[in-house]
Amino acid sequence: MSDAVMHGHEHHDHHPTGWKRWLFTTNHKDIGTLYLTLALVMFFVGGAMAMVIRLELMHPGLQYVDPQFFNSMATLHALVMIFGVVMPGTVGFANWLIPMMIGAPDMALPRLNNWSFWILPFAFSLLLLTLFLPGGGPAGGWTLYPPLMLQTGAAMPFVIFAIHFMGASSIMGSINIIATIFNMRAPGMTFMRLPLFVWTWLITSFLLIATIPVLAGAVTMLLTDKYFGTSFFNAAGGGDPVLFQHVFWFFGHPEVYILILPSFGIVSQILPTFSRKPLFGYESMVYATASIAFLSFFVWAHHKFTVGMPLAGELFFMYATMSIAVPTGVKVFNWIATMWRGSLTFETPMLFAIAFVVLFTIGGFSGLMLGITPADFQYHDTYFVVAHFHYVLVTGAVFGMLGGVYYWLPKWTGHMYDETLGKWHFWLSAISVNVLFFPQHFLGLAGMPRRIPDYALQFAEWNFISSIGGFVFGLSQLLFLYIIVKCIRAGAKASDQVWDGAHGLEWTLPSPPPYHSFVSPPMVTDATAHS
Amino acid sequence: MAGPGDDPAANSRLAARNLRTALVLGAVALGIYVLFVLGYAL
Repeated sequence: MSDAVMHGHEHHDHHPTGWKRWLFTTNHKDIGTLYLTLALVMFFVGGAMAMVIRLELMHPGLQYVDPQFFNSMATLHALVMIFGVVMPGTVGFANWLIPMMIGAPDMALPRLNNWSFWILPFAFSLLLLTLFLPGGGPAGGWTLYPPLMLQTGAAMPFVIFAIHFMGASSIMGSINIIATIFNMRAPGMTFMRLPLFVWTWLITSFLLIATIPVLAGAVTMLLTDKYFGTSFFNAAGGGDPVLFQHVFWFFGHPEVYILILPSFGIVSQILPTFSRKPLFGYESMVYATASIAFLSFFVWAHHKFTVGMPLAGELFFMYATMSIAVPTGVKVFNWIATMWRGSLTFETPMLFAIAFVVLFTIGGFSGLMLGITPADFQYHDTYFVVAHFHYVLVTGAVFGMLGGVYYWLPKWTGHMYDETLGKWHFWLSAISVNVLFFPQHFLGLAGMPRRIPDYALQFAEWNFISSIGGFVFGLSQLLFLYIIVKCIRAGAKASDQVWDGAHGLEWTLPSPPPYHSFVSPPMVTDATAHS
Repeated sequence: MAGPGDDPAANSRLAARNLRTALVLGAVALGIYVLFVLGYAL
């Protein structure tokens, strides 16, 4: 190694300590940790809002909060969980893992990486502080539909500014991930040798770059309608509020896949490890993921069948929605085939991954039901929709992330977590989440509308049961926090390999990995690739 | 496919390539945003 390069490395390794380390860091592991920590904090913030919602809905009648505050809780719970938990959480995984998985020393654009993260705390401060403004926080739902959203008080520009910040962060993060995967792969790491988690994030990044500017455009137009006299969505001025719904869902449906695809990737890493078999149908998994992403641009209007559209439009969006079941079915088939006749063991990451496959599929089926136009006229805006997307996002995206944390935590920290407590966390979560969300299918089918703080008496029993499930699920996540802290502070030393069935470059590094993952690039062959 | 290494010239080329990739993708994102809003505004 030349002196100049040696000096460069030495200089680069003199990273600051204390709070400056975290504020000024350009290291992918530090930034990954920051993203994951933010996601965990926001998980409890958004979870506390969910507890308020479930407490109010535990019994019929208005008990604890006024309807305006209830609506703010529902709106902010969604915005926090989507933009503050699942998106930063999966970006945290991407930051930690992609350079290690492809044999790179760091992300392609480390300073941009720092900026991508550090605008997020400001975004969420803006968003959450709206609760203390005159008129309270945003209460028009996370979809921000006009004209309801235009009635928001002083909170509205803050919410829109926060969404712009979050969007800018996501776009910069996506640019970094694409540049890293395109340009920083180790010799021999061809695209078809990439671990599936890397593939899912590559595809997710393109989805983000294509759709976040559309959301930014829509909320900018909302802002100008409110404050600058335009009439994009104002019928009185010649605009059309339905236009906003089209534009929003052109972003919103791909967003659903932005949330779930990285968890698909995580589960596709976990299942082969604990089945002690290669992932079944690797190439078909890649093509299925790309197909899901492509099709996601042609289904947006299934969110608004009841608004009214020509029959040809209804048929097109119904059949396009149905067609997404095909690549999704390929993925579920491949996950099951991976486990088929494998030497299965059921450590906590595997339990979460199996629960993901089962419960996400339930969410997928209810999604198919909602995609059938005539049936959707009954289900629309009922608790059936709430049940559906919570199966997809909680037992799908969040369970995938929880499994991923247990899977890679020993690699990240160098310590094993407490397996017994991990299993307790899994079983408490898996049982309570079904008590929480499964009855909401029944409530929706019986006609209970979404986004209401009070309801008719016939819905009382299932709401009570759902709330009990919600409280247990919420408390179970405190156990998760304890397990993480215990692992970091007092966990047994983890080996470099950690799991005997694990394959991939990240497992060739020490636990915890060095500050710079691969100072010299590894040579990747079929034997050292994903499986 | 470039990899990081001990060659400063190769590292410079890699940095330039990363920057080019970022600029192209950033321009795409900004272009969608601007065209979108202008498209409706005009």
